[in-house]
Amino acid sequence: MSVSPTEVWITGIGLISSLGEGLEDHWQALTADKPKPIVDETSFAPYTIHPICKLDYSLQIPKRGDLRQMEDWQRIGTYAAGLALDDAGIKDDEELLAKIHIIAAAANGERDPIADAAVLEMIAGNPDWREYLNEQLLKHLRPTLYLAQQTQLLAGNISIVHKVTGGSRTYKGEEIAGVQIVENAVQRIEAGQGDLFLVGASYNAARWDQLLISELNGKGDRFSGSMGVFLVIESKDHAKARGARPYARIKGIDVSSALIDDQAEQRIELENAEGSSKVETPSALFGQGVEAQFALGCALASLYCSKVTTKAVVTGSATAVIEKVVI
Amino acid sequence: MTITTDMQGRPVVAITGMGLVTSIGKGCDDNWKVLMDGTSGLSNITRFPIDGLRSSVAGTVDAFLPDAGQMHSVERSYKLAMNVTNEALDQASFDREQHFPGPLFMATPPPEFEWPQFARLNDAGDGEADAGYERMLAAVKIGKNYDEGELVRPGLIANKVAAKFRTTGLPISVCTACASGATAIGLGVEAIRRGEQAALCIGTDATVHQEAMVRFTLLSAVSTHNDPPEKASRPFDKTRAGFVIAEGAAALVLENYDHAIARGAQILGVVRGYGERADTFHRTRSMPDGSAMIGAMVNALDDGGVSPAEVDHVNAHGTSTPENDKMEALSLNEVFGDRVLDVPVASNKGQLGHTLLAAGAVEAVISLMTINNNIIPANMNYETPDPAINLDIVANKPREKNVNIILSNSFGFGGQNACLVFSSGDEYA
Repeated sequence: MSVSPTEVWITGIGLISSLGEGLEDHWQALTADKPKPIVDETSFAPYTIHPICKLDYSLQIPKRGDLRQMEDWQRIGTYAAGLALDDAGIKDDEELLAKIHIIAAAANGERDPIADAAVLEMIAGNPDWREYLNEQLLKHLRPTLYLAQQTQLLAGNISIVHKVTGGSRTYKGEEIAGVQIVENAVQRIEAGQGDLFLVGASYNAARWDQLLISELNGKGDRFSGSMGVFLVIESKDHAKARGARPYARIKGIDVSSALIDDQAEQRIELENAEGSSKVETPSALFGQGVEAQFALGCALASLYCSKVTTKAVVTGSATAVIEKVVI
Repeated sequence: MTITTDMQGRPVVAITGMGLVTSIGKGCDDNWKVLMDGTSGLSNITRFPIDGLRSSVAGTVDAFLPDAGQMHSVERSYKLAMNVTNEALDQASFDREQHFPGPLFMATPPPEFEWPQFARLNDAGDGEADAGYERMLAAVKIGKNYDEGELVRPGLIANKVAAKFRTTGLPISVCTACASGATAIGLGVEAIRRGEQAALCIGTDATVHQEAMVRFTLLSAVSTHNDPPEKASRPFDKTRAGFVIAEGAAALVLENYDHAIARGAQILGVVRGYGERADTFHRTRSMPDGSAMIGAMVNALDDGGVSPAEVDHVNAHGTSTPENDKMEALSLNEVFGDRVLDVPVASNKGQLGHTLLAAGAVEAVISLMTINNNIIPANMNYETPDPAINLDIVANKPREKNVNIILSNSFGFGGQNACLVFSSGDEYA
């Protein structure tokens, strides 16, 4: 495992999920006597999902025109990114926003199941369906729908809504892409290739097309969970210079055991100063967040380090060692 | 060990291998020949019905890939990627059977459901259930999955390429829309500057399919000049009316300069700089003052320690949309100032069409061939100058010029702007 020559701090966390909005909601849910998952067993029966909590999207995405040009995966992510920027104290700081590199993880965007079903209805069982397809697609698709389908348009919407302009990249590849966004931010900070990053992903479990992808890949049985997770990851020097306080530092990321098709369950091993330890498995409460899963693990680990533990090790798709920062 | 460094003390990033397939040819040499004679890669779409579509022209790889029209675009894109990677590794004198000594960065198209899949899955469903997702899911649940799940997994192409050539670490699949090919190269540049010996950077996109045409039509982004097809794409021309979707792939072997010299590899050029800047204005349009495009170009030049006065040629993004070409011209005027007309500008998209996520990589290879041949391929179909565009366009005929440094632009929907600066590498020899 590489140990950071430059300390890498997490200075902002934006988190929304089925359990609520923001860190306090989540801390309450995690530390409740009997933590209780929130699930929806009916809307997508026979599939069970963890739906996103009730949100007023306009709090982070004030322009109705912006909201209209997104679907829920983008709204969830853009909302969480706004929370992270707020939390890090850089929300409306133009100078800092111009330095932030966004690294998002995303898959294909959202299709419209009603439009797809309407087209399928017209072509079903017809060997000459290709002849009718253009007419049907022109009738049922709309320009804003395509904007919801483009992979880079979570990061793109974050730039547009929150005015983040330093750079914008989106990595693809499910859980592993979720690891790579954090790993790449750490690598770039360590190498002096940037010192302020907004890193994360969103996952909307309430999607028929996503369920079909999961089922086709033999993952139909897992409970998927809607969530938006963004982290502000920053070099120690940069954070100190602007007076930002860290939740924790990322001591190291180890991807050597990561497999491209890794589905190992995420665990967070917590250690306190007395050496006693405890293990949390977030998926039981949150469901599977795919691209957002690793960032979720890092967010929760940081939260634990800021409150009760000295060290938290996230395992699963890859390993992240998160440590309390003593200032 | 790094001995040769750039002005900022970083390892120098050499290019030692390249591979290219586009609508005009397979292989770098064949592409160059056709770039010199100006023959268009664009033609009327025959892959699927075009009834009702206002745009019916594309640049496909059907002539260079058997059965291309029958494949899912992910399979097509994968095959192109394998093709160009083999060529690049051979040129770089890397043994394809040995593991590649560096990471893979790849721009790949979205692995989406296409209608032949939907139709098959829906037809496999229960006769009673209504058409749609619940019916398709029910079919899959009882085992009728036709192995199609793999095609819609976002990392598939890069994972397969990484496994084949045994690149190091985890491959990164990147999407920055039509800037993706350039971003993949940028990732490689950063990796080499962090101490990697080599990086494999690939862009591939073969997504001429029915829904893609409809979607771009709905965004009013594609050219409606269908007749003749070879005149459909007209970068910077006053009559330009949109881009033309095209297929293609390119691979570049990036290598630590000293590593390349030590093993006797031929230096095809150097990546001097990479820069990006995100736009906040609109999902399909750029800031009216060009600030994000300008920012990306300036960042790339600064990163490479290159002044605008040293740039010999701009390989433009030049999509042939009214918006892009106007904004790119405005931005170039801002960056180059009084000298703007001394810098010949050309877009390859008049001849090849727009290879979308692959474009940045495709145009990087063409830029390096331009440097190596000292001939700038023509910006085809530039016939009616646009008074709003104050540029020296390399119109319709290749132009001989001593070219040492090129700025290559890539801009994508969603405010994605990425620019690269290439040089011959003679400055380090």
